[in-house]
Parts: sequence; structure tokens; C-alpha cells
Amino acid sequence: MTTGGRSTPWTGIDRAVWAAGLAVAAIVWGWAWWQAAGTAQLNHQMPWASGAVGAVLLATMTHGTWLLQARRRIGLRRLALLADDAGIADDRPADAGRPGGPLVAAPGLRRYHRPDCPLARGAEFTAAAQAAHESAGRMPCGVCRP
Amino acid sequence: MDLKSLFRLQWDRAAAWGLVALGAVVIAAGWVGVSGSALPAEQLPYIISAGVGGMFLLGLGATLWLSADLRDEWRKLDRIEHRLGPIHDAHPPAPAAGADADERCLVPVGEPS
Repeated sequence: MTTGGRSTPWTGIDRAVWAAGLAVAAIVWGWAWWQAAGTAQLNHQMPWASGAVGAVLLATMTHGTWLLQARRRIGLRRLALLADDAGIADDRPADAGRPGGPLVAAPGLRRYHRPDCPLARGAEFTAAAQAAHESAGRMPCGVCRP
Repeated sequence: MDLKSLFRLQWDRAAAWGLVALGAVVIAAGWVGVSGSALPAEQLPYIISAGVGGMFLLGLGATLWLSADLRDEWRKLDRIEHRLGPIHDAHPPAPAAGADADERCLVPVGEPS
């Protein structure tokens, strides 16, 4: 999903639905104002006022759909990238990251990891017990969740 | 960073602030119109045009602002995906039940989804 070479969480259909929803809301609102301004009788104006409120509700729903669609795609993408079902954690050795097993970190870093964590691979980390990391003020990694 | 570059990079947030400011001005103008009329039938067109129109602009501004945050988050995932790319190549993700490749956003950025 790219726009002008830049990546975004919205597809062309999302943009079309958003633009169409806002266009319909704007037309209904403008028509309601035009009709209400053309009469001096309050009882004739009230239905058009209701139409204007309906236009705002339509615009709100359009904005909400736009934002929730992006929120959902970001959540799914995050799951695909970082969750266990991404396959990264499935082939870890049987003893890796078991409760009470060694966990790795480096001096100066704020998080400790499982030895097979993708964020720890290739780095010169040293292993220690979880209690030792926690006493050093480190927090568990949010990706491998030791 | 000069103002022009800032507006170019943060056009969505700049537009959001502009719309919110415009919405506030429109609502204030509507209030002036309503306060100058004694008859409800004269006041209602101001409420529909300026009151409802101002809310419309405020909502659009808020959506643009939240969209900018979501776009930033998406680009951050782009960077994470780029860094994790070699690991994912070595350990291809298993397909999630009930989700196609596009929904799981596994299509590389820049390729047709």
C-alpha cells in the first residue's frame, strides 16, 4: 500500500470510501442549510436541521471507519512481524528460553532477551539469570517476552 | 529545519491544525450570528451552517491528526520489517488461519498487493 512511493496503511478503496462518505455528508449538509435558510418557519426548518445532524453523523462514521481500518491493519502487521506465529520462535531449541533458563543482555542496554530472540541474534550478549538482569534494572524484551 | 521543509514533511499535521483553527473561527462566527438574532427561525440557519459546519471541520482536523500518527506507526513497522527481513527470509512465517497475504501485510512495500 504505497502512495507516491510512500507506504501507508490505507488502500485506494479506503481512500475512495472516505472521500465518497465525506462528499455525501458535505452535500447533505449544504442542501440542508440551503433549505433551512430559505424559509422563515421553524417547523419547516427542523427537518432540515435533522438532515444536517445526520450529515455530521455520516462524516463521523466515515472518519471512524478510516481510522479503525488503519488501526486494524497496523495490528495485523505487527502480529505478523513480531508475534510467535511469525515462525521465528517456533524453531527455537528445546531448552532455549525455558523458565529459569539463561537470558541474554549487554551492558548498558535496558532489556534482556531469550537467547534466540531476533533482536539478540548476532549481538555479543552475555547470559545471566533473570534475577540478575532484573537486579541490574533491565526489563523483559517485548518481542520474545522472556 | 526551515518552516517550508517542516510543512512539507508534516503536511497532515499542519493541515489538521489549520482545519481545527478554521473550525473554531467558523463556530465563533456562528455564535456572533445567533447572538444578533432574536428569532429562532433566523438563528437556525446559523446553527446549521456555522455550528454544524464548524464541527465538520473540527472532525476532519482531528482525523487528519490521528491519521498522521497512524502513518508514522506504519512507517516504523516498515523499518522494523526491513531490519527483520533476513531473519524472516531464513524462517518464513506460517500463514495465519483466515487471513490472506494482504491482510497480514506480508506483501513487501512497493509491490502490488
